[in-house]
Amino acid sequence: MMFLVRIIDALIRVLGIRTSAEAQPLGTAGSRIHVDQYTPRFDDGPVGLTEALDFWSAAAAAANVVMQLSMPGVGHGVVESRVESGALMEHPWKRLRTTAQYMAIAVLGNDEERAAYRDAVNVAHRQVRSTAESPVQYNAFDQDLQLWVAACLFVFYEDTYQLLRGKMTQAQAEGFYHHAWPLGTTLQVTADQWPPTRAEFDTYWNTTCQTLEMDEVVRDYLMRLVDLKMINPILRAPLAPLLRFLTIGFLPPLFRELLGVPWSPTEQRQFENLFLFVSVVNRFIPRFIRTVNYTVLMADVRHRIRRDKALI
Amino acid sequence: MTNHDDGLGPSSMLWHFLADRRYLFVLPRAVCLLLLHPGIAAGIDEHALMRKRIWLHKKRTFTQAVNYAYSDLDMRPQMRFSHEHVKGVDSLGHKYHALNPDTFHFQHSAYVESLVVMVNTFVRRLDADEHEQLYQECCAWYRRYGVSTRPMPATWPEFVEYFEDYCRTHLVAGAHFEPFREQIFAPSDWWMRAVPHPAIRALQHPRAVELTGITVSAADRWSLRQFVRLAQLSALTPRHHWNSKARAALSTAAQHRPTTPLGAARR
Repeated sequence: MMFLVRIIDALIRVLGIRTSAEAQPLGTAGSRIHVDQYTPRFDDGPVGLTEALDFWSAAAAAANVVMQLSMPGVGHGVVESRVESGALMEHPWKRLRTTAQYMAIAVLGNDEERAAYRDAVNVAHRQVRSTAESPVQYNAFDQDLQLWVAACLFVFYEDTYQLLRGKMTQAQAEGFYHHAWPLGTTLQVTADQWPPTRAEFDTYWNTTCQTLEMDEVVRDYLMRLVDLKMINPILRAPLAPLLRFLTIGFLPPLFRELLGVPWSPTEQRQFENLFLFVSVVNRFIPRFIRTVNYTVLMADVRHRIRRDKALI
Repeated sequence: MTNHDDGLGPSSMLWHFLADRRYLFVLPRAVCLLLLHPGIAAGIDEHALMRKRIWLHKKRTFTQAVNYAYSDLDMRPQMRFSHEHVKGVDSLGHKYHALNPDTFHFQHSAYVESLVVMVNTFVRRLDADEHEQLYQECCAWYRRYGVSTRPMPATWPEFVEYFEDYCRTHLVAGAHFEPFREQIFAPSDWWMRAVPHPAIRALQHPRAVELTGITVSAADRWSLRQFVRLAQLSALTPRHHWNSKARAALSTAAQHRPTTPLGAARR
């Protein structure tokens, strides 16, 4: 699959579409991904989170998991979890479904559906607590840990949306940010926990990034995820190199350091060119196709609730 | 990280019988007895997430209980975390708590009794020594839960006596059982839904037959015998070892490698 990335990179270089680099914004350097050239924006109207639902964004999923688990309480909580039914390494496809479904419900679901998902997640979270043997203290109901995970999910949508549809204006970014709050408030995060403005979110993000740490246990776990060690080897062979490339590409430099993975300027160029190409292609794909994964996830969750079946 | 030294491993009988899919076919026997216990039925009805689909509830929780037998990790805190909020007042007005050692041990012993019935019905008749060995391995399994072993009988004959006595004195028919009746005798989820309904009736414990008021006919017993023969084919089908932890542990043992702890790379 990686050869496609190289072909697209060569194509864009031949066409000479890219212009010179912009000055890097201060403050978030290192804690957020930096892209020299975004695809041009077509509109200045308000942007909701529903606009950001797009199947291409799955490319950033593993990177987002890395960011979430970089907080020691989250990392050890996930790695040490004794809950088998949702364990990433045991049931990877189920975990993909449940995580994506949570995000779909948070954005598209009604109050009743959110409550049903919260109840289901609470059952699993209740069992995720540190023991005397854990290197760090954690509890899955800890609202600070949950806020960090929700913040990562917001960053997921913001990064993928801007790569695919162009950089948002300040007003658009503000509205987009407020739409993202249910990503946390669907569980135990409260609305007043979210930094009130987009600018304050940057402050929260950067301050929190200073406190992140990753030890060998969490790093090994994440590298097994990035290398797709838990799925069928036949699928793994073509997918793992591509996922690795996309994951490191979507990781801000600070997280690359934590994970200990290399990233070269050539790869950065390939990554940016890939998304310039994808964003152009994407404009010609009708919306119902781009959001088909969310349509299926929502239909599935409604079916499960109607039939009293297991959500997670 | 704990490496248990309690005899459970690839050479134990328990590891092979617990992982056998035919064990799931016999679970309606154990779960029927459990739901005739007012406290256990109330705990599920008031606290379980999947209270309306008992087999989906059991798919999650029973799988986890079986995992304990194969895990190298200390799972005891998880048992506490997942049960400590399960308490209340049952339909007879008695207080219940899921971690009450007597109630908790009865849950386990119902699974043990069904396991022995499964082996004797579906696999082969065990002799007295084998019964004792399997029972002792089940005791080792129970010790991994981290709940008081005070109610646990020391030997198989004492266990049989304890179990029959408990069923006679603690189980009652009543409103607490009725919501589950249909799902017990006609399961709609997991592997038990593959079992013919007459065979499920024939598999019931005598006390459960008495309390639920079902009748078990000769035709039901014939159906069970036919199903036992058909179920032998299970070993030829994929996922005959239904539990993924068990599958991993048994295949690791087959390759003569040391067992990996829960969650470690297994491919």
